[in-house]
Amino acid sequence: MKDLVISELERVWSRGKTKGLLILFIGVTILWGVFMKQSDMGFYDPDTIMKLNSLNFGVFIVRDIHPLLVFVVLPMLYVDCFNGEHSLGYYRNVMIRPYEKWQFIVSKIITQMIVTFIVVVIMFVLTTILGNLFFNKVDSTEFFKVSGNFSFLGAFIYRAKYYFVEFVILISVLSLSALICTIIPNVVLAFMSIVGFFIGGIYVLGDDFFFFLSSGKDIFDVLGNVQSYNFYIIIVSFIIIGITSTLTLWKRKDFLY
Amino acid sequence: MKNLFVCEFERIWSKKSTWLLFLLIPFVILASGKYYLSHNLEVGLTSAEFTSVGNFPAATIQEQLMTFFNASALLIIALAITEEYRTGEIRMVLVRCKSFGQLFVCKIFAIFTTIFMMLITYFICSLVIGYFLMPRVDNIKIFYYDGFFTISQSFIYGLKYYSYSFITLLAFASVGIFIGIISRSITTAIGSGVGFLLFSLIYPQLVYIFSSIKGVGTMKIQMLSITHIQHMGIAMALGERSLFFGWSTLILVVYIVVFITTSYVIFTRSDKNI
Repeated sequence: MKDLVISELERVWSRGKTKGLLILFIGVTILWGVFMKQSDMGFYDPDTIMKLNSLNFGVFIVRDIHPLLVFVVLPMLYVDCFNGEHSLGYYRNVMIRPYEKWQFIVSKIITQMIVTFIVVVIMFVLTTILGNLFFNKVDSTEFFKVSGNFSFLGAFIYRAKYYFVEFVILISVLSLSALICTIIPNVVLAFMSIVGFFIGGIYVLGDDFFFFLSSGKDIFDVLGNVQSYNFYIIIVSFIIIGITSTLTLWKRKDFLY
Repeated sequence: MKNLFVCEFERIWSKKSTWLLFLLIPFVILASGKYYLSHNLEVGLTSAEFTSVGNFPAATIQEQLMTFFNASALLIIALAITEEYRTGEIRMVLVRCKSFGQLFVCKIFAIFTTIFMMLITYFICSLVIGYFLMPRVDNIKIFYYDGFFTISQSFIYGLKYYSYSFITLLAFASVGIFIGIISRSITTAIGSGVGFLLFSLIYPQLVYIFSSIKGVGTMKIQMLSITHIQHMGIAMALGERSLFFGWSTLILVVYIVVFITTSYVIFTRSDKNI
């Protein structure tokens, strides 16, 4: 199992696309940091704003980088892993090894969780550095929905928590993507269905779904303990439904072709 | 040439995904119709935002043009161009004595025809659904017009709106074709296509925040993004004073010419298909 995960990680890294996406992601994050320096405003929602400083910058950039992650970077990684390899036939070389069927898919899910985690950590480190480089340094800062001032360490912990909630949201995207990729055998269709699902969800299910488009406000609400139960229900049910049905479908799949 | 076109066209339609896109159309219209019904409660009867039977076709495409239609164009292109020469299907076509140039021309015409058919289907479906779903109002207010429209006048307006939408979609499809031809794999093609779409959506806001004087010049620079033309430009161009009509048409034509010629050159010169 451990070897499968390592092999999977090596294959993710060996694709030129992964490196390209990483450079794109880092570049966009830095550019967006420069841009936010120009406007110097952090948004909770379009009407509630706060001035940026070195301690709270990392939190406010998540709102804008989130769509890039959910609609471009992560679907490309997920689709290649869950669908591309399998539908193009590369995965046969892996599946001839003596493992159980479910171990293959579990290793894929674990690998993508690690990849997502790495992406979030990169973003965390990068925004911490950017915040200290670009913005005026302060000793303490405030955040929305939580009272009190945060010192340097407190703000760091708050940011870490914030990125952890973002990571959990991305995991629910991951499990849904895994399910969609298992159902739909074509790479392009799977990609479009993932993007379409999260955008179409807003039309059908209303604003409860909005955090897939822009997550900033909802994470503030979670950390301030004022989030509605719908948020938790959607996240948890997506993760459970996504992963269990992927496992069931994958085990029943006929791999003889 | 004609046979090649028919062949390309049939190959687009032999895919289930194309049928799926056409089947999705009524649901997309229903979803946005539901949204406009709730939006109607917030605006007055004489507001241009009030949606009724007459202006439903134009209103319902305004947002879906940016999301649903652009995404569908990307999907059709990625399946018709990138996937074919990644999986090798295109070799079956190339064994015939047709040149790359002819193949390219037929391919893009087949894609454009499919997009055109999608728009027509959308128009007809929105007429039917709007007739049953929307309230009936005789004096219809249209964006950028001072007076009121009757139902037949607004029908003509809808036709104009859809024709202009078709040009914007051609421009977007040209970019998509260019991306599809230079990409080395299907995921790259579709990912960079969606990336371009996201960038076009964000770009007008960026320009707006960065510019110090928010005047005509800023609006012209915002218009460089195709999605901005789709969102606001069409209504402005078709309005009473034809705001920016020449400018936005120029931008769209430049997009189409530049990207189609570059793709043509790349498609005919490179030998990666063989």
